[in-house]
This record gives sequence, structure tokens and C-alpha cells, in this order.
Amino acid sequence: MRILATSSLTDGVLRYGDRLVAQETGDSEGSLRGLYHATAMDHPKFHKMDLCSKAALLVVEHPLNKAREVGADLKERTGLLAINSTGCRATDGTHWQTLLEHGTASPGIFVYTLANIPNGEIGIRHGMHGPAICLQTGPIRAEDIVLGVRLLMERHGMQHVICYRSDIFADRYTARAALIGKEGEGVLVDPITLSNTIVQDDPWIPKH
Amino acid sequence: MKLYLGGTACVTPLGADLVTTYEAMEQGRTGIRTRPNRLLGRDFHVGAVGSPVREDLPRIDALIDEALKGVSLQIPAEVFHAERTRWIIATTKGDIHSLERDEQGPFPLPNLADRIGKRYRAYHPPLVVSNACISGTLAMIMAADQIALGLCDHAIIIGADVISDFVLSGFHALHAMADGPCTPFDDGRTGITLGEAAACAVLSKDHSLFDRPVAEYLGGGLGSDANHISGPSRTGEGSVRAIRNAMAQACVQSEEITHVNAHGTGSLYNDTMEAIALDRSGLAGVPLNSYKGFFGHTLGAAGLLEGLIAVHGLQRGRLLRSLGAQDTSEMPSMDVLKENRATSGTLLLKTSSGFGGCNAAVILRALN
Amino acid sequence: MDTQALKQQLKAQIIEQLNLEEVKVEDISDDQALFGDGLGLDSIDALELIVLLERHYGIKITDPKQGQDVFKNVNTMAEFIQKNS
Repeated sequence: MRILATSSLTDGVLRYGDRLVAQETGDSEGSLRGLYHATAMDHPKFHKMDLCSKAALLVVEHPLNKAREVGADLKERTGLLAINSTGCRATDGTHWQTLLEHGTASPGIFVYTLANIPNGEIGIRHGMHGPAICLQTGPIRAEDIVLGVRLLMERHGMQHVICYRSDIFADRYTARAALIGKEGEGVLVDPITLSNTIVQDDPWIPKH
Repeated sequence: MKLYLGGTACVTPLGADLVTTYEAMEQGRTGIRTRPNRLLGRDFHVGAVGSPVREDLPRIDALIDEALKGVSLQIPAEVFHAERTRWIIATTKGDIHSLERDEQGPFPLPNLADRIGKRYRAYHPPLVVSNACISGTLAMIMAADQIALGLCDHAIIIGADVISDFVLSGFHALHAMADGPCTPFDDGRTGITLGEAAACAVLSKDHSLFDRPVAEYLGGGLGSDANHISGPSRTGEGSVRAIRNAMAQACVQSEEITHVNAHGTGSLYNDTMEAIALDRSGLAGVPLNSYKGFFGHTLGAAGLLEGLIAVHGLQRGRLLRSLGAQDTSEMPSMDVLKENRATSGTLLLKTSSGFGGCNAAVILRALN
Repeated sequence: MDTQALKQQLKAQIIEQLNLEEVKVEDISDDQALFGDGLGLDSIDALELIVLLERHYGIKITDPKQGQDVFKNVNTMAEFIQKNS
């Protein structure tokens, strides 16, 4: 198992590997919108999504492009592994406040109160029919990512896995992603390398 | 390697254990009742747990606690704490009441896992699977996969969700709630009914862990619709893949399947999608049911709970009727169970589908 | 409110409620189909339009099927609002 590409997105700064791709200022909503335009991601549905899905969609663009470049079978042999700590807590709050305020819920908000919805949005955008798993842990543990990737490859026939986290907390966000291939050119997957890429916690996330 | 399922237990709207729940279902009783909802200002049908549970804990913890008591009577205590045991918790919203109480911390689901892990002195922190309505089935698959890869010897699997205004209001806004108790696979079905439950089971590579394992886990599969986040694929794309992958892993052909216990939510599109997916998988004539007419949609618990009940039925040589399914002429090729039926077969296909377009299937062989 | 003003207001409300970020009021014509090839709305958007009618105009639609006729275009929505409010 090798890491073929990584990307990160934290508070308006989008990087593909170490390369700075775009930088936007403003609140979460505003900077994510800015990055959407900066990356010319033509996908109008983006604007209907919650922050967690928006950040997820943006951060997996690069690993997925890399997957296409290396000839990955996105439709059938590429799995999705989402792992995060906050789940869809931010959207939970929005749904609940909307309900209290208006006496009725908003269906377009409610559907984002499931932690695995970013997987669904990514799968729709990129036409992926493979397994899509969503795990939640307090501190993100590299071991759990390795576990998820191994299950998808060794038990469910995947050649590639896009693994990512997308955490939203108190109007800040962080998202990180990697393309992992069963084979290919890249660094070997091990817990330490993963810790330095997608696991890496941002200091503003409260300690678990 | 063979994988054995045992230590099964549950708390449901029909009883505080698996046998009571099953027997109520066999008698055709439902756990669904109307309940006024103050926030939304109207009545809803729900499958609520009525048996007493601890009140000093969040409701979901209390339901899990009750179900785990049932497990502890069946397996050696040291398995709970063993290094070679992994815990997996399947839930969609966990202790969502904490939001209503304004007490939600930054990590709602990991916090639930922490509480359960500490209360039972689990060696490893439990892993939470939050994959919408396939969570329970996926937890079973992930448990089996970890054992098969040699990462652990035993897995304690928990599936749980509770009824909340949070979820009820959302499905109401989606116009997904049934007019009465849900009637899966019936031509006149009008939507879903929410339920709550906790279900637990232990999966192990050691037959000797159990006095009597209830089933052998043969295989599991997953697939995605890539179509819509809240509506199923009209052609069952993800479900077909999940079923095909489960059968391939289990080395089982469609003709060998005794019984399909489907997701069967009672929503118009879900049930039609499932019929199409089963038809495409060569499973059209296999006796089919959904249990949601008995206790509603228990969300993250559903796949595990329903799988355990179906296995229990097969152990008794019985297939239960699909409560609420009367007129099924819309799906002529499906053998929807309208009465309880005897069987000598043992192979169960359990399917689940969820928002986000995720689908899961497992194949279990009931052991006598 | 006269019909023309109501239609303009509706267009703004649709854009806001459905987060149609890249659409402006002047991009929506009165008889343009909202669903299908028109504005490309989906089933969740249809339910959001039901919420819009309830929140802004106090009109309840309990059967989403009824929505299919009401939400054809801005003309049909305005007509429905005027009849029911």
C-alpha cells in the first residue's frame, strides 16, 4: 500500500501535497466558496451542501485527479474511507436551531445531519459505486485508517482508496485527504506517515 | 477461517431480549404505537422501547447497557476486556438528546464510544461506524473483516439508536413519515415509521467461545448508488453490487439462499428499489420480508437487530410474515411473506440501504 | 402585492432558500421550468419549496404530489399563492 497523493485544506488554505493551490479569507462559508471558484470546480450542487461536505469535496479533488491519472477504476475499484471526530455536529446544531426557530425542519439541512453524506456527495460527483465507509473516532488514529484501507483492499477488492477527514468546529474547519494505491509510486503506508498527512490535528480542535 | 456469531441480545419495542421480541413477532404483534409530539404539534406512530431501562444514563447508553447485560450472560467475562477483542458501535445519531439538552460536546459519537469502552473496560477504544441506515450491517462486516485479517479474534458489535425530535422532524420535513404504522412492500405503503433499539452480538473465530453459536458469518458486501443523497437508485446499482459482493465472498449462489430479510423501510422508492435489486441478483422468488412493520426503522441498529432476529427464526425453522404487506401485486415476482412459513433452509441474506446511497449485504448460515 | 412584484420576490426567495449561488433573479423567467432541464432542481429542492411556502406565505402543502403542479414555474407558484393567501 502506497500513498500516491495527499491534499489539505485548513481555514482557507488549500494545498495539493506541499504545493499551495489557493488561499481565501473570510468565514468558513466564504472561504470555501472562494476556493470553489478558485479551483474552477464546476458543480453547482456544492452550494447546497453543508460545510463538512464542501470541505470534503474540495479536499478530495486532487487525490481523485491523481487517481484518474494513474488509471484507477473510479467506478468499481476505488473505495471511500471517511474518518473524523466531529461528525456532522455543526449541521446538527443548524438543523436543531432551524426547527426551534420555525417549528419545521429544513429538508435540505436535515439530510446533511448524517456523518456519511460527504461520501455520498463525492460518490455522486465522481461516479463511484465502490464501498464507502464512515468512521468516527475522538483523536484520529492512523491505525484506524490503515485498518479501513486494508479492509477495503484485502476484503472488498479495492485497488485504490480515497481516505479523508473533514472536521468542522466553531466556524473553523480542517480537511485532509490521501489517495492510497495497492501498488504504484509513492511512500509506503505506515501509521507514522499517515500521522503526518491526514491525521495531523490542528491546534484549535479541542483535545479529546 | 470460520467466523461464528453468538452472544446475541437486544432491547426492542417488543421486549427486553431476543426471544421475547421474536415470539411477539411470531404472534403478529407490533410494537408501534401513536405518541403525541409536542414540538411538531401532532401525533406520530413510533416504535418506542417500553421496558424499563436505567434512567441515570443517556437513553442510548441505557439501551446498550441493557442489551450488553444479555451478552454478558452468554460469553466469558474476560472476552469483554481482552486485548484480542475489538468493539464496534453502529449508530447514526448516538446520544442526540444531548443536543436537545444543550449538552453536546465537540465529539458526540466518539464520546459515546468512550463511555461504553470505559464502562465495560474494553482494551481498545471502541470504533464508531456511522454510515446512515447500513451502520448495523456494516459493523458486522467490519467485525468479520478484522477477524479474517487476523487483527483480532473476537468482536463485540453494538447497534443502537433512539427516537428523537431531531430525527423525527427531519423525516417529517422530507415527507417520509407513513400515515399510520409503516407497511413495507405493501402496494399502499406511505412511508417509514421510526423505532428505537439496541442490538448486540459477538463474532469470533472460536466456536468454543459460545455454548451454542447462532450462526456462521459467510460473507459481506458493500456498494454505492452514486445517484442521490436521500433517494435510492431507481435501478438498485449499489444494492446489486452489495449483494453480488456478499455472495462472492460467501461462495454462495443465489439459488442457495433460503430467505431475504430486506431493509424494507416502507417508503415508496426504497422498497421498489430493493425489489429491482433482488430481481437483478437472481433472488426474485426467494421468500422476502421486512421487520419494520413490527417495530419501525431503528436506524443504526436496524441491520444488526434484524439480522439477529432472522437468524433466530431460521434456527426455529420459521420465516416471519412481513407485517403490513397485504397487497403486493406491484411486485409480482417477489415472494413477500404474508403469513409465517416453515422452512428447513438455513442461508440468510440480510440487506440494508441508507442515505448517501450506501448499501450493505451479509450472508449468514443459521446453526442448529 | 401586485403579481409582478410577487414574482420578483419569489425568485429571490427561491434563490436564497435553495442556495442557487450562481443564479440571479433576472436569470429566471416567469415560465421557465424549475425542475428537469430548467433550473435543474431535485427532489430535496421540491421539499424546500414546500418549506418556503409555509415560512413566507403561511401556506401548507401536505402532499408533495400537489407540489408538482404548483412548482412548475414562477407563474404557477405566484398563482397558487394568490389563490391561497
